[in-house]
Amino acid sequence: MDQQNIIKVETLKLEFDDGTAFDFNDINFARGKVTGIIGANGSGKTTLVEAILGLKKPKESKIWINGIDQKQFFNSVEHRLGLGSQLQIFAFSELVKVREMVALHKALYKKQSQKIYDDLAIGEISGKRLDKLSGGQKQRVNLYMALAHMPQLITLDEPSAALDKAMAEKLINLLKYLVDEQNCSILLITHHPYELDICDEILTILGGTKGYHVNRAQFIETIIGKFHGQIFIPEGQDAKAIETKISHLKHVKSHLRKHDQIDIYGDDGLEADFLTLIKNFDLNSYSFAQTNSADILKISTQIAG
Amino acid sequence: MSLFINLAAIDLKSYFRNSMALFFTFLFPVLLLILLMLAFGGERAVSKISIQLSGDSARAGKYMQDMGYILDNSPRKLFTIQKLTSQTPPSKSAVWVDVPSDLSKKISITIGEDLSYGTSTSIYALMLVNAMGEIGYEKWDYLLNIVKANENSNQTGFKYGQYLIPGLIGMILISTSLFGFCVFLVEQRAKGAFKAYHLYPMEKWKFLAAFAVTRFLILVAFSFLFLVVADWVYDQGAIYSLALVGKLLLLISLGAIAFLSIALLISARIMAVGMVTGIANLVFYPFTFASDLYIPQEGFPEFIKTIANLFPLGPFSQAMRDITYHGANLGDIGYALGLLSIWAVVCFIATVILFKWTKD
Repeated sequence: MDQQNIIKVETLKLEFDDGTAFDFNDINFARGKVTGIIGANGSGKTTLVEAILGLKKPKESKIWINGIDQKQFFNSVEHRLGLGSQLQIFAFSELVKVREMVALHKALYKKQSQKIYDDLAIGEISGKRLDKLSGGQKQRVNLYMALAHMPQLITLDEPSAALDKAMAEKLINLLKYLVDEQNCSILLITHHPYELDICDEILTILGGTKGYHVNRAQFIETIIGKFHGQIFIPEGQDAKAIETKISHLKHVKSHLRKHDQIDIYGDDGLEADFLTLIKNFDLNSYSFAQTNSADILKISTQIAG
Repeated sequence: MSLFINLAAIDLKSYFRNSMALFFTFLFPVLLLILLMLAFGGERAVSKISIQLSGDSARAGKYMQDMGYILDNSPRKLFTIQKLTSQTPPSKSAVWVDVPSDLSKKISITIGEDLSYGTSTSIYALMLVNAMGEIGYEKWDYLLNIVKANENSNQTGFKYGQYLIPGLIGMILISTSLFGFCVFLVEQRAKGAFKAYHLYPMEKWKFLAAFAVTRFLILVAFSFLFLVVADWVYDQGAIYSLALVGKLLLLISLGAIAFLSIALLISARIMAVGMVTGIANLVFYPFTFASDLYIPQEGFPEFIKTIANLFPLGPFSQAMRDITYHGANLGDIGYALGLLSIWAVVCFIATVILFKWTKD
C-alpha cells in the first residue's frame, strides 16, 4: 500500500461524443490531507473526480485507490466501505424520508457517527420527505450519506453550495475534524475561499488537464505571490501605460486586469513597488494585503502549470 | 439481508407515496376494464351459429317459443333454431340450451365441440340472455351455465369477461413493467441517480432484486385486486378457494417476475430516455399480438404459432383463464409455468451482468 498517497493517477484520458477531451497524468492525492481541486467552470474538475470514482468511462487509465487498482477497488464491496462521496447531483427518489436515508446508510455501512448527525442537524429534518426539503437541507442529507461512516477517502464536490453561512462553517469544522482526528483523506472540488482555507494541497485544473499541484503555502509563495495589490483606474487615466509599468516591476509575479481594476500579485518586495506605482500615477483607490484563498481561486483560473 | 429489506422498503414506500403511480397502476386499469366491457359488450362481427333447445315442460315450451320469436325477428339472422329431441344428437357446432322446468334450476347452455371457447360463442349466449330479458324474463330468473359439450363439469360458466380479464391482467403486467418500471429506471440513470449506488458498498444484484421484489409485490397486489373487482362487478363466476388463490399466486408471481425481468433487461443497457419507449414498443407489440388477445392465433401460420407460444403473454393469459374459470390444475398449466420461469431467470441473470449504473 502507498503510505503517502491515497489516490495515484498515473494516466487518465477521456474523450466524449461532443469532442471534449481530458488528459490527466501523474496526479497523487496525499493521504490524510485535504486536496482542493480548483479551476474554471468546465475545466474538468468534476470529470477528473468522477473518472477516479469509476463514474466516467476513460479511453485509457491507470489509477490506484488506496494501493488497489481502481477496477478492483470498485468491484469490491469491502473496499467501498471506506469511501464516501458527495456528488454534485443528489438524485435520490424525492419521495424518500430523511430518516429512511439514515436507515439506508446504516444498512450500507453498519457504522454511523452521532457527531456528524448532530453537526449536520439531520434530526430536525428526519421526518421530512426529500421533495419537501430546501436545497441546503438536501445538501445536508447528501453530505450525511458521504460522511456519516467517517470513511478513509472522501470526495466532495462543492459541499457548501446551498448551505447557509452557519452550516457552511459547521461543515468546515467537521471536515477539519475528519482529517485531523479521524485521519480521513479529502478531495474537495471548490469555488469557495472558506473551503480552500482548510486545504493542505491545491490542484489546479485548466482546460482538461493538470495545472499546478502543490501545497497551499507553496502555491501562494512560489506561484501567485505572498502579497496582493489592487488598484482601480480612474476615468481618463491611461490603463495601458499602467499595465506596461506593472509588467516591468521587479517583484510582480502576475497581474490581472478586468475593466478598470487591476490585481497585482508578487513577493516580499511588492509593497515598495506597489507604493511607487501608486505615487507615479497618482492613484487614489487601491488596497494591499496578503494573498488569500479568494486570490488563489481568482488567479487559478488564469494560469497554466 | 437488512440492506436488501431496507432498499425494498424504501422503494415500496416511495411508490405508495406517488399518487400518480398509484392511479396508473391500480385505478386506471380498472377504469380501462369498464370501458372495454362497455365497448365489447355491444356490436361484434360474428359467424352463423345454430341453437338447439331441449326440455319437455310447459315452461320449456314457452321459453323455446319466446326464443324462437326472438331469433326469427333478429335483424342480423345470427341463429337458426331447432328443437332437440331424444333422437336428435346435439350438433357439434351448436350452442345447446337445456331449459329446466323448474326455474330454481339453472338453464344450461352447452357449447358444441367444434366451437371454440372463444369470445363470440359466449357473446351469442349473452345476447340471448339480453333478448330474453327484453321480452319479460327477469334478469335473475335464470342463471346461465355454459359448459363444453360432453364435458362433465359443474364449474360455473364461461363468459366474455372471463376471456377478457386474464388477458387484460397479462397485458397490464407487461405494459406496466415496460412503460412504467423500465422507463423509470432509464430516466433515473439519465438523471444520474444511480451514480451514488455505484459508490455504495453493495452488490448490484441487491439493488436490482430489491427493485424487482417491490415491483413484483405491486404487480401481484394489482392482479388480485383487478381480478376480484372485475369478477365482483361483472359477476364472472370465479369460485375463490384457497387452492385457486394458491395457483393464481404462483402463476401471477411467475408472470410478474418474468415481465419485470424482461423490463429490467431492456433497461440494463438503454441509456437514452428517448429510445427506451421505442425499444419497449418493439417488445410489447409482438408479445401482445402473438398472445391471442387481439388476433386469434387460429389464423397464424404454424411456425408463427410456434414462435408465439414461446412468448410469455399468451400462455400466461391462457393459464390464468384455465385455472380461474376452468378448474385447471398446476399440471395443466405446466407449460406456462415453465416458460415464465425460463424468461424470468434468463432475463434477470442477464440484467445483473449487463446493468450499468451510469450512462458514460
